[in-house]
Amino acid sequence: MNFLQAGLCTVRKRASRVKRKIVRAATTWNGWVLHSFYREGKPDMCAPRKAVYLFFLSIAALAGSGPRHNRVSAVKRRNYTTRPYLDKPETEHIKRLSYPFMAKKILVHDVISFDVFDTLLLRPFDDPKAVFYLVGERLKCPGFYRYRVLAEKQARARNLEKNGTNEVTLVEIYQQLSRYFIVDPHYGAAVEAQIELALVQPHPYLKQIYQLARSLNKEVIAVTDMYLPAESIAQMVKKCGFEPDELIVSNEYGVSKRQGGLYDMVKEKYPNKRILHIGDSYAADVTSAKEHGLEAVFMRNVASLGGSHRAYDLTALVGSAYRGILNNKLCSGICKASAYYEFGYSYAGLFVLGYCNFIHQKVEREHIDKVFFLSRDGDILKQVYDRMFPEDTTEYVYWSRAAATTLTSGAFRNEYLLRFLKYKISKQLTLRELCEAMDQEEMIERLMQFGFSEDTVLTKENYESVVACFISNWSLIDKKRDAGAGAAKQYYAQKIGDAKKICLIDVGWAASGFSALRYLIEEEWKLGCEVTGAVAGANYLHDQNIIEAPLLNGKMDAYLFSQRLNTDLKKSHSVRRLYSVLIEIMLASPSPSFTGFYYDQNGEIAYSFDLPETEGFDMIREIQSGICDFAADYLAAFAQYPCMYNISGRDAYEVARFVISQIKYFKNLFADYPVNRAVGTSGYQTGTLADLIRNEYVR
Amino acid sequence: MRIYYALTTYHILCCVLHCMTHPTERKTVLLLSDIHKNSVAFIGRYRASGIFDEIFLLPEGEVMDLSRSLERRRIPIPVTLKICCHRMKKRLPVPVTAQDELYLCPDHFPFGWMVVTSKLPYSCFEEGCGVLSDREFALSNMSRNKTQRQLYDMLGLFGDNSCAQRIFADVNRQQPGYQNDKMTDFSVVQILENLELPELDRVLAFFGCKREAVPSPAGLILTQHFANLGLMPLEEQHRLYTLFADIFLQDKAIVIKPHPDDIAGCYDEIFHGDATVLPFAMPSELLPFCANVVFDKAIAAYSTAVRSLGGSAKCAVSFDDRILNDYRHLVRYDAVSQLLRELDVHTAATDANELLLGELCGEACAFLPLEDGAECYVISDRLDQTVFDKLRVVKAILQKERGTVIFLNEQEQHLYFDGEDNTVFSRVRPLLLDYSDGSSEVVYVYSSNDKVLERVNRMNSRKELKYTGLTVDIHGISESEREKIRVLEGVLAATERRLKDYIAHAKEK
Repeated sequence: MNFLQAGLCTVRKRASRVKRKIVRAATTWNGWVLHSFYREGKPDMCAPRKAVYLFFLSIAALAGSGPRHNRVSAVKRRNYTTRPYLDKPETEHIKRLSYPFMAKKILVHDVISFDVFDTLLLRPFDDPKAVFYLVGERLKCPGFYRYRVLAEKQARARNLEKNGTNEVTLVEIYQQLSRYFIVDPHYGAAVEAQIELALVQPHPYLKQIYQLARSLNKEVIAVTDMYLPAESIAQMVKKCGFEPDELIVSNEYGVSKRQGGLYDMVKEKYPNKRILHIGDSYAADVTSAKEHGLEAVFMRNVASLGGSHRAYDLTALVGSAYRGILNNKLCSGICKASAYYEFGYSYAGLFVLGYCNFIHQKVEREHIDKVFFLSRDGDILKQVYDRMFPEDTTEYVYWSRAAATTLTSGAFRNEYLLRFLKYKISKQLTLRELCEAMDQEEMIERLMQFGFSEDTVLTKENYESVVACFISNWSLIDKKRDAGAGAAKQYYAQKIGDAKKICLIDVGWAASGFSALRYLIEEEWKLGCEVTGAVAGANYLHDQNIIEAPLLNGKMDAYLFSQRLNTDLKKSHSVRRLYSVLIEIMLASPSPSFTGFYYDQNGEIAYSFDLPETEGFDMIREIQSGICDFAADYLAAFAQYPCMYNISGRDAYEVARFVISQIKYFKNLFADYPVNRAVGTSGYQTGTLADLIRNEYVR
Repeated sequence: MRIYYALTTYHILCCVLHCMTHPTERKTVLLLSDIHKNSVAFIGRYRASGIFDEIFLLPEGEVMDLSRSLERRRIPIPVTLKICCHRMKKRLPVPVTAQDELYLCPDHFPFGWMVVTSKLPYSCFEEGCGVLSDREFALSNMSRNKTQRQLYDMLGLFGDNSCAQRIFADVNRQQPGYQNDKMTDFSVVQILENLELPELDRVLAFFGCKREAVPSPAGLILTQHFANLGLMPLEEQHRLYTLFADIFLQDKAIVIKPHPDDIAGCYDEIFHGDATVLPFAMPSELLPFCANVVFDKAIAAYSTAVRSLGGSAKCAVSFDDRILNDYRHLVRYDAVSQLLRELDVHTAATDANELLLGELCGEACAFLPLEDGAECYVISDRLDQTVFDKLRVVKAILQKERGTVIFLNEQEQHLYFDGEDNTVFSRVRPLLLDYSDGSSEVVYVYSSNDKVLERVNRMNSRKELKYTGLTVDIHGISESEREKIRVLEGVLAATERRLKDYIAHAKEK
């Protein structure tokens, strides 16, 4: 009987699996119907395909599952949910035809025809309509974006009705626009063309293909379905380094590539020539070209390749620019990069760029003489800042929690005890290990006099007694501090020079580095310099709210979030999900942690460092390289629109959150990244991010 | 009718020269295989030359695809042959009969299979100059095509069958003692030299080239299609040749002869229009007739083509396959050669690319294997053994030698430091190579002689890499970098601590 039941159960399971397969197949065929309509441009093929689709849908219904559109569409949607590539670098997923292949293809043709927009030329936006925001701003028209979209749609519809073609000119669009906003159509069109010209950039892969065609002495023409005037397109093409023998624009002839009329014209102009057309629209550039006797190569556009792996929860203009820059670089087909480079380029670049601009605004606003980027997070920030604002005076200064704790031990006694002792209770270290990490070997003897042995493990229970011993022997700690304090003071005095106001830059989160250094410079060393600061994000650390007052009195500013800014982000910034650690990876530097200053035997300032986490240095260099390249690309793309550098902390955080919320991404690609979280207790074997995720990540 | 069949550019040249030097009353037809894309591209120009009465494209690509698909389906070879020959016959643009004079160049492609199976008498040309006697080389090109290789055995191709009446080959280029009854002398170089000027111009025009006025002194680069062969990306191939021009052919007019398959080269772009780029579809045998100059130096990366230039070049340079990696470090090698000259070193022992060093130093310095020892050593990071073995070798050299050891440090292995003996740092000096794009490289010099270290410190030169688009400053450490050095010393001390921990841990194990 049991055997029979088990058999029935298996049969039922199989039947349900078959049902699921049928439903899935039926919905896949829905894509097949759409494919014929959009991709192949054959609406007549839709009807039979639709019939087949409905037939299978009926079978699915008969099978007991029913169409269940809601559920199915949910499944489909899940496939297209945007998220980063989790298994390997994005550039490994992007495949373009190889140069040797294209060379052979071009060699056997006489005329090479290129589509223009999204093929030869790229805009630094994922959606070309984003340009309308800039046009609207120039024309000072509220709601311009929507009017411009509507006007184009209506102008095309009107032309189709009147002339049988939906090709329109930009002036016609602006004439239609007068329904919503009164502007001289020629002036409006000129402004839009001017902005397009300023933004357009060459497609790096297609540029090489173009050069290839030129080097093989082929005739090169550019053919486009576009509303912009031919002169403007010619200027854009020339600006990007293309000089086609002929530029053929649909709106000049009233025929288009999609309808095929433009290809007939090309064939008439180049009779008995073998023509190869390269373009990004399957219907207009491939199907239509082939139907009219041209050879065609499909060059999928960058936005469709990268679109499903980008963060979207950003403001419209910066979001579109961010995605556009990424698509243009990573999906062009010539970029071959590691996952670390892509991490820097795709996710850290916008944050660093925005943060640097934020710092610069603070520098201008508060008349700051020098910007001090604190090691190690400040390394990449300084690199990008110097590139963006070379006129500002900046310094990369050595500083760390360990150095700060030691140098301020004369004043912030509890800070010292917390960092070197209390926070290490969970690590179960012996008193000897702890004293060695603090470079306080003499303290071991004193502890033994207090009744401890050197092998005693620090615990919650004996913590207060150990603290009592430390306090009664604080002179030892002072001695150690004094050894480095002179060198530290001299170092900072040299760095500050005659600056009267400096700004300390750190990543965050509690601003302990800022607090310590400000105290030393202003109070203890009295270097006659006012200290302000900025952090990327402000958060409480171990229930200590040390940032509240500096935020209130304006001594400190936060970029991404704080208790005064983007509080929803602060609340969702989950420390338990290691968000802070993962953001810190973005600003990592390929150098060991700084531990302190001292004078060497020649009386010169010398520097000591913690054990270097060399396993991660190559990764970090790649990340930094990605960040620098993103900054360079973004700055170049919007050189004439510096307002685009004004990236809000929310936008920067959304991009960062897009990746840091995908722990699988880090498990797969950053598993070996070395992580050493505790001050002064690093061993020669560092922990990895994989270990950290395993031990501390809370789902 | 006289029918010629040709596959590659060299084969087409053979057919052209034969047709011009052996005139006939018959109609001459050239059948060009469409496997070779150059033939498809330039058929219009070939036709316009008027050397042949008619020229047709032969759709052999389709037949080769068919043979491959049959091979995948494990169809027996005789059946494959029959199907392919049938398809070939159907696709022939002109009928081929036993009355026709047939010249095949070569006979191991579908047209040849059809001719041999139809038992039509024919003459064939050798696969390449001097290749008739080098059967292994000829067969190596066939190794990737199983069907072709089996048909070679079955039909006796390369003229080893009863249908082949004569084999045209350059007798003087065959291996010594080689005999073949069918061999008839056909030396392309000799025929070209004996051609009258107007006829020579016709040949040049056929291949789209003309006599170029190249200023003297000139250097020649013979390219190889590494990107096509999948050996490196195109950008790297470009970098290789621009570096060659910048390092080896400085102050010379550059002439580039791309390999016939190097279609994607774009050398005009890469050399900013400053170089004379010869047509890639031109056989290299025409080179001496195109450029009116004897090249001071002809250079190829990994190709023997440069050796057959004869009197066209005063000096021919070709490297072995190590250059495919070592070209990335060409500037380092150049800096080392400068340093060797500066230090007046005449003999050096090295485990680096001695061909490259030899070429850069010329006669000023001879290079010996590492084992032989010398007054100076040049050590590469290249590892033929484990890094620990290499460190041992280096340590032994540092311990026994009183001379100078130069570390190329290509992979930043820092072989002068074994992780334990940090006294070595006091005798090591860095030689910095700062590029104008912000990147930098470092070569390290160890010496027990203070004067040598002082000369390294004082070294200062600048090199313009015109075609690569970079400037490189080669110099020792300056005063302004003192703070950086202090920081690096701190980092080094920390690194050393970590290394020591590792070593101690390894010993415990």
